[in-house]
Amino acid sequence: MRRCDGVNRRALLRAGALAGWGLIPALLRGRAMAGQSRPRAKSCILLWLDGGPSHLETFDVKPDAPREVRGPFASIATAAPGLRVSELLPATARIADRITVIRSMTSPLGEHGLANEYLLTGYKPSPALTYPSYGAVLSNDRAAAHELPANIAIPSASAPMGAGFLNARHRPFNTGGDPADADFRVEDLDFYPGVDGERMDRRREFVAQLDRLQARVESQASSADLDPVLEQAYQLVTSPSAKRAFHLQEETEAVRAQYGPRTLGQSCLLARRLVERGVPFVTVFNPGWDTHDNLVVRLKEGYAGARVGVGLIPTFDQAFAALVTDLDERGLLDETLVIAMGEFGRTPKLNSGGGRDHWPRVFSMALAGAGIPGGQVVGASDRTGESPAERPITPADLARTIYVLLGIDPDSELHTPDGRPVRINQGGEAIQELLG
Amino acid sequence: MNALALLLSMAIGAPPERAVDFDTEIIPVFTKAGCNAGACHGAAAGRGDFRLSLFGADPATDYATIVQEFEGRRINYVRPEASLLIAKPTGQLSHGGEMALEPDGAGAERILQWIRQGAPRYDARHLVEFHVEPTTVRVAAVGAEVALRAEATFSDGSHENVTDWTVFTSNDPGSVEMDAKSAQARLLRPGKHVIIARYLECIVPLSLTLPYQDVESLVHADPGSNWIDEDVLRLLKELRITPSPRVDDAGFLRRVTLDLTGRLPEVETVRAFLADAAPEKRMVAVDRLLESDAFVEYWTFRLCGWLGARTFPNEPEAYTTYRAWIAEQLRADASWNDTARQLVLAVGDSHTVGPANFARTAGDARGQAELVSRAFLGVRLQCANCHRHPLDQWTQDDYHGLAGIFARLDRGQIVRIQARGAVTNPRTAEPARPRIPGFADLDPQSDGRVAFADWMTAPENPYFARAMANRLWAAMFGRGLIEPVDDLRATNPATHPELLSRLASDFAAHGYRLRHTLRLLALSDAYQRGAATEKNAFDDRYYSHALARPLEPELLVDAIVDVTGVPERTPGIPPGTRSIAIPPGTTAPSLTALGKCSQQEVCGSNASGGGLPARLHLLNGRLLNAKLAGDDGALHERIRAGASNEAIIEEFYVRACGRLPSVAEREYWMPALPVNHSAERTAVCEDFVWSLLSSREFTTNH
Amino acid sequence: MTAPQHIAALFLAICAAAARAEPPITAIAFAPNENILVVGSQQGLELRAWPSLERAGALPTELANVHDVAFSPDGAMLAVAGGAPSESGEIELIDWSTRVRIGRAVLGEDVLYAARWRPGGSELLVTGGQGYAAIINADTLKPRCELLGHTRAVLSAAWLSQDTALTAGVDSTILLWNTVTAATQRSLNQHTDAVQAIIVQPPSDAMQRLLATIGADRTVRFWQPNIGRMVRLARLDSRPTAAVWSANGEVIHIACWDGRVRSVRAEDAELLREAKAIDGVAYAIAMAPDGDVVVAGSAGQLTRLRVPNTHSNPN
Repeated sequence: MRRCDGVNRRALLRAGALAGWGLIPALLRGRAMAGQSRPRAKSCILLWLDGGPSHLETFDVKPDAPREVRGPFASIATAAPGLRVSELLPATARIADRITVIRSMTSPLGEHGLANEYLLTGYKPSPALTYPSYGAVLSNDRAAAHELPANIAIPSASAPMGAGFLNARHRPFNTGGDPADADFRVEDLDFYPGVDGERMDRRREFVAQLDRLQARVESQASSADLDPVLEQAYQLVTSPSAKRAFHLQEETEAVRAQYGPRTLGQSCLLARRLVERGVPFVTVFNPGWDTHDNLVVRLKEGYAGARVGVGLIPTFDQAFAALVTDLDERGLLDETLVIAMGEFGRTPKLNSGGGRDHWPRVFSMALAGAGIPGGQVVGASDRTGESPAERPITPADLARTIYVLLGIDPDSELHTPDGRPVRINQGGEAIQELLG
Repeated sequence: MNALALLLSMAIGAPPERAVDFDTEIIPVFTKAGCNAGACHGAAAGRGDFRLSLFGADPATDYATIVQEFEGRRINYVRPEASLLIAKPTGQLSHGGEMALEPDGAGAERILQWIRQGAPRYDARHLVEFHVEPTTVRVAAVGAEVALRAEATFSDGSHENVTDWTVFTSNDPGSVEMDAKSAQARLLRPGKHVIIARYLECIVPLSLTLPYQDVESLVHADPGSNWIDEDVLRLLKELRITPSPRVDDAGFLRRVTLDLTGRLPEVETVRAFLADAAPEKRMVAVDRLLESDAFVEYWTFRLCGWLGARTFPNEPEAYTTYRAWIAEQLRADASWNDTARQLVLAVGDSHTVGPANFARTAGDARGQAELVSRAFLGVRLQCANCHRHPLDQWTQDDYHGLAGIFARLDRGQIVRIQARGAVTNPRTAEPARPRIPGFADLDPQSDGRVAFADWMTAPENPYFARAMANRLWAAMFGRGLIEPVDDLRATNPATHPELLSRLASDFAAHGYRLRHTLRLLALSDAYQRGAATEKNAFDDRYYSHALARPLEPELLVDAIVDVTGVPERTPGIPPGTRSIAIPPGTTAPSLTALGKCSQQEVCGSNASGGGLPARLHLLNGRLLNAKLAGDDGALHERIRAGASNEAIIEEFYVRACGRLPSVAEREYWMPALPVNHSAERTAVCEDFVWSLLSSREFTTNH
Repeated sequence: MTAPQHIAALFLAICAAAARAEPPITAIAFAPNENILVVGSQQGLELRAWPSLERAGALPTELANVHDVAFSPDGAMLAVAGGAPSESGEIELIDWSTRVRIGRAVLGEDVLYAARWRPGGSELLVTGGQGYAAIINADTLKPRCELLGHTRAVLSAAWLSQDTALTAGVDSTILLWNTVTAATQRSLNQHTDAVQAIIVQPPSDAMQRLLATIGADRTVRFWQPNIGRMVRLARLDSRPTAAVWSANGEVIHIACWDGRVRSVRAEDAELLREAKAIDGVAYAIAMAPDGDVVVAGSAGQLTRLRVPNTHSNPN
């Protein structure tokens, strides 16, 4: 067990010293582990289920709980012995031997904005600094010459997915548009009529000269270089192969159908195309999980009275399972970390509107790939899904694990523009079960 | 009194043991140990069937919970040391929060003593004054330690050292490390840092400063143009940051024109200003801008943004009327308190009564409570929806009570007061009693909006003037004295507290007139500093140099239109309409591409806006390319008119950057542009203007 | 008040504290057909004479906290429930005629809040912290089955018939059980906060016995238990803690947080009367043989209170 507000390392050490608990070796183990590990995964796909998905209707169903806790859906067995999931996740159930479910995520933050920041950065929000998201840290680490941006969001990122104090070029690149549209394309990738490669080169040269000559705004120390975002834009638009990454139309009908016709599915397919081409971090943004009312319509049906459910969970189920399967079949799963999560869970007790409100004290998430042993359940919530019953895991623990899996030393330091060192992970302990 | 005490001690037959006071001595033990924090038993749902009020705000309820709930299970009168209240936090029984209290520590000892006395609660005393020493500290070197000491005065006249029971929190642990046990603060980085001291209901911010360098370095020690500079310079001096020299005339004109009117200075204005030798020309320029129509138009855009003005499907009249009314307020230099009052109170047909639209902005009473507190008071009330605001004094009663004030509004096209209507306070599960937050309950029968508006706009209101003064500062300087600008609270103090207070009183004393304060800001030295130098580039909050900020999408589009001379076409919007006048909710492809948020989105910090998609749009999109290539634009017109390269270079530098090109710039461009009339020359000229409009200098206000 | 006055008040307060350090009385029960009252607190079990309420002996117990005392239907046995909070739930059985403790068992990891005899006396329904509820054998005190359904502390229990019983507690739900199969038959969800007590109307000629519940939401609610319908509700000015039916089943008398007793008529949920009983919190209430009530609570207070009864008392 740990303190309710997550582990404060100093407090822990103090408590450990007082009580003679053997916590220090565990911490040191966690650190040593991080230092020597080699990257397990090259890339990461984050399915961000924005708004806070209900753990009780997805990966932590409580069929034996009282009715007001149980909710409207039953649970089903999966390909992983001992792991049961919601009946709305049949496709995920079939691939459950390749996924790991964490059922004891816990955080004290139950407001969307703060919870988003915590889950997307692994740092507790602070008024002093805006921290970088996983994607930005990865982009910062892997920014080596590559035509595609290192951090891409489909179709667009939310504010906490930003670069924080890191350079703006690590912000996620929003593809925009709807990948499910037949004529989906990313805007502004092709030259404007009348502008050719030669003019493009000239413009690049001109603007670089201008920035150099404009002594007036020399404040930015890097003013001698070309604006990094412009350089990134230039690299992208002048590389036909990079631009092809966004051409979903190149995929066969069969593959597209596998992911499902809706935005989330096609976004996952696009994410697969991007990691295939070496993009280190792709966020698939899936809104709508803030289900304060009417779980049946929102989570299952999609619209009242739907005969085939097209709600949030069936849509997620098809997309997530297709993504993991597809990555696996292409031999990419071991080098890709797939994460499906939102910012918190939902209240154990159904509210009067047949929905559930924000509940950060315990919630679930799913991971796949990156060599994580599949079919596992890590941690558990109590009988009503109210608190962690065992193995509480904080977002900081998760962050540390994500970085270790992606080969980033969580104890190395980032630097703010004014030179302040900030450790990549603060106060987290790696989740050993995921490191195998 | 001594005789009385003696008498009493004799009566008891033992040396007098002082009674432990629950409210002022037991609650702080819990707060110090973190028991009543939001993550533990202070959570809205409690923890392990034990719920305390957040930070002990409600001692009566906490007492009932601790001593009386579940038939007094938490207190053992017969064997006090076996009490659950002791056994759990000291780790004798398994406890989710581990060992919150050391078994032999002073906290556990005090609780035990209190239980031995029968776990009583008397109305014995309350906190009268809380005081922390030192409140401002200057240290000389990294690693310096400062011992903090807290003292409390109670209503029984006693003074106590409460350092051990005060929670000291560093707002930025990377800069100041706080050792909770010894109450020692250690400075790790230069700058002005904040420690929050919390004891019972009192929150006191402490400021700790560590200079950036060893040597005194104020290059020019002049007193500054107006009183704003006193505070700014004092802090710079304290931190030993060298301020940048005054910005040149062209830079000033561009900056102040953008800040006051949202546009670039016109070519003739630039030339005239540069040629003007009058010493007071900057003041004249500021006054001219403040009186211009462009000021009204731009600040209407800003106010609409702050007020969250929105459009409704198939009701264009609503927004048009609202916007026109706000513009009229600005044109007349109306008092902000009067404007705010009208917005809060207006009823009637929102298609003809402008301010009535304010009530429609948020969909319901709670939304309106949040909007009112954010827009007028700079306070984020949202957290108090579910529990007492963890960082502030706002309670659930405050939140739902404020919502209760607006509960009877019908928010249809015709805004009116209905006979009934209430919001439920989840704490009591009963209709919330209308309440002015932190102040007073209102009669549920009367229209509480009047009393609320009176309170909100009264000169004594601690938030109203400060909130606007801070917003105006942020608009001019690119950063609020308090950041975020809608998060005024004791635990988020201003970088320059005295300055903000003075600014707010001055704003109020001058009739809450925006123009007065904007003028003051624009004429300060702090505003008129140049961009960063090597020596102060790190500074992002002390105003040693001007902060460069990207032009917002609307301003960037309008600036591109003005430089290229080609109006923007947005479907459904009359051609020639400036972007800042386009109603929210309109699909405007250029604005979207540049990262403007839609009406539905909540985009606080522009984390993903702009960036690569904006760059791609400038590179390949229609906005810039079509305007440059079009025959009707300023560049093609000049080329057709036979303008020389030199003339073209100069003109577009003035148009885009508000200045003449430097010698080095002329020397670079002259050979780069072909001389003979040709398609090639046109293309290169287009590329020249394209690069000007893509440069850092053009795309930022600096 | 001036400072010296304040200090004087503090010292006076200590004097009062010394006098009031007695633990609260948390359980009381009349021995059937006898003028003796059993009183439970952290000081143990005491006997009090009725109607003088004077001490008349003590009973043996090891319980740190006593939360319920209940005589078997034939009056031969006394069950005492309680335990050590967050450590163990404990029940003890005392042979009433000899005053000797003949049984003791540990059940669950938190205190027991209620022990109720099954009609006939062969079993007991016991409930406690952390959602604990079980049917135990009255001879062996061994659990026959656990009733799984509550998520948080179960504060109160009552038998409706030989084979049906009710439990309720902090999770604000009332569960109706088939005690043979240990399955829930119904869940009564109306309270918005913890349910403090659940009491079944005494048998009468009326066709159906009502159920009354009181909750931390400061309501008393009357139910038709078999169809699970709430029929009436009254709001109270103070949080109720314990309640008892009048012998004729027409009124319930509710002990409250403010030390007062409120009497509410079942047929129309009207508040007939409220009266001050003790200082502090009243935790327990029992019907005396003569139709008065005995109220107990904070600082060992125990008092007799005359209460209204709608019609003539059938004594």
